[in-house]
Amino acid sequence: MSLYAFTGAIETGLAFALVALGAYLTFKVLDFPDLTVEGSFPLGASVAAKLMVSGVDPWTATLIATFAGCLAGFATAFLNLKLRILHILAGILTAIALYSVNLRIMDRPNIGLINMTTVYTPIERLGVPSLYAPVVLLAIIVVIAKILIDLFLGTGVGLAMRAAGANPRMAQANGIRVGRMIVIGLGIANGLTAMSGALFAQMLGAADVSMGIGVIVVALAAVIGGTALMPSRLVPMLTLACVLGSILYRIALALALSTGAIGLTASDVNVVTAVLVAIALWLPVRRSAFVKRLGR
Amino acid sequence: MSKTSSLLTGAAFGLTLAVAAHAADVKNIAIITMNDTPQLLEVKEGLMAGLAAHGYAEGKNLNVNFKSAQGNFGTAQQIVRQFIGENPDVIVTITTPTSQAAIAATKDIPIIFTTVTDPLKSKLVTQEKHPGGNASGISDLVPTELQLNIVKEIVPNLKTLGLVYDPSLDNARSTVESIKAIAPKMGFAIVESPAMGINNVPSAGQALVGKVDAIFVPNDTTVYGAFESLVKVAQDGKVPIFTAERRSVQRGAVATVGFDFKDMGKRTADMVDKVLKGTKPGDMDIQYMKDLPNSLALYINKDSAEKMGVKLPPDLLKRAAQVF
Repeated sequence: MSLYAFTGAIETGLAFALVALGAYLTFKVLDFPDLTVEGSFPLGASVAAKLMVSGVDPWTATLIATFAGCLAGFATAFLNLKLRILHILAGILTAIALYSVNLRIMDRPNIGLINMTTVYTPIERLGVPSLYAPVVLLAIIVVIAKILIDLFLGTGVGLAMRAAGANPRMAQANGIRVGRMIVIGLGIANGLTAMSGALFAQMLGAADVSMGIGVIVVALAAVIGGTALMPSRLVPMLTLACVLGSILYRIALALALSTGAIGLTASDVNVVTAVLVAIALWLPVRRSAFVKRLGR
Repeated sequence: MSKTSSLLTGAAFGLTLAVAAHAADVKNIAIITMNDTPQLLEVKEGLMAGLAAHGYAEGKNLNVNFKSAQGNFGTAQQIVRQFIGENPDVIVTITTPTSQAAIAATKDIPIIFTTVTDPLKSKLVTQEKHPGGNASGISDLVPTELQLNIVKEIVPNLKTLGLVYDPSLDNARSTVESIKAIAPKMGFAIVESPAMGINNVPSAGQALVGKVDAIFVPNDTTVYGAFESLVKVAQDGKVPIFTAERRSVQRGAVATVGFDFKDMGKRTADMVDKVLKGTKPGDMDIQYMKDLPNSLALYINKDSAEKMGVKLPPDLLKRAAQVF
């Protein structure tokens, strides 16, 4: 693996780490498998791209894109809480609706962002080579997002959210409004996802309506894989595990892409992804079996 | 230093020189495609055939690194980064998003793009003549007016034309826009039937049966992916289907004036060859497949015309380059 391939893996991993942090909130904390991300990721890209080509500065565009993502999360929460639609289905419905919404926003399937001023441009002006600029900026953003989530989960609302996810009935009995927690959690998670989409599009040089394909798999691979490799009960360790999981997933993919090594070809990439996720899912099972055997 | 070790050093040095001399003759090209649809793989096939015709033999004086992102943008980004790390002599990008990703990522390595419809709107280049920078390529913009003329020739009383396409594809979308622009002038109305994803292709066709006199499909990898299902709908409903390239006529469309995707791959290889021989992409004009000499031909499927209930004018059959 070359240095470029390695930095490529790190920067893509960091961009998707925001989605992983969101998935940690929904999937792990709230126990709500949220598929909205397949729509809110390209939503963030679409909103940011459309605003940028209309002359809005990239930071404002990214921020507005993030709020648009929050709204997508609220939509799923509404479908689930008010219309009583199963959580997975509610997310799928929002995601497919967003596909049309994104086409409307951009007015076409693809907006090119090549040679435009992006959020990475100021970093390049500081003298960081353009290939490394995204890594620097994304690392800063991801660390800030991680710390904010750690702090949030320690507040009263955060603790209530964890309780709502761990045992909704008990939480409700103790006066926690579980529905409100779902609204907040989905809002934050999809806001992070849309921000990730906006940042990724500026790195890729384009926003495309098909960008959401596979986002949920990548996010879950990061969360499940990361927490399987670094099991812990502490929130800061778990969020760190999600970020590292996202990066490790990309490094593994980069290795899989370095063909010839073990006879893998271009068309094997997806099966490699599936095997990686399956191994990550299986690791905790194996570990607990091992511990049990030791106990005997 | 002992005699043996200096001998060894000398031998090693000689070997390095030999390897270096050998490496200079071997060209490295990297190819990325967004998807593995038949159309795009035909482009790649044509590209390889074209390179062979220019005297490059894979494994001898040519190393080829071919990767598909399998529809995933994160993977596309990583593949591009990997290519840059390998520093190939030229990167060939198939489809618009992969071209954007490569051009955004490197300003040094030469890039030849192909199967892109609108290089200007997609921001791949800022001008068509001498685009400057490190990228140039071929557009697959279709000769829409010529194709619609054929539709009118076969269906003389054309009042309504149905369009089946995937609105998420940039290429398909721009063709549809240009058809909409010339339809009033040519005297027919348009009914759009979007097919989001391959599974929706048959129902998009069924929605048009009884409402339109003919169906037109732009260069659309989604619809071409399930083209046989659309042909069946059209045969059952007796609506003739027209397309924008050769192979879909072989697969059951009535006719087209179009180009062959394998041929486009070969023309891409011509540009790649120039880059390998030292021309800078920035000095090469953007090419439009439809304007290249001998790229367009009339293709007709007689059997399909019969099944879809249309009569083919005899002089049209005479003009055809190929009748399936």
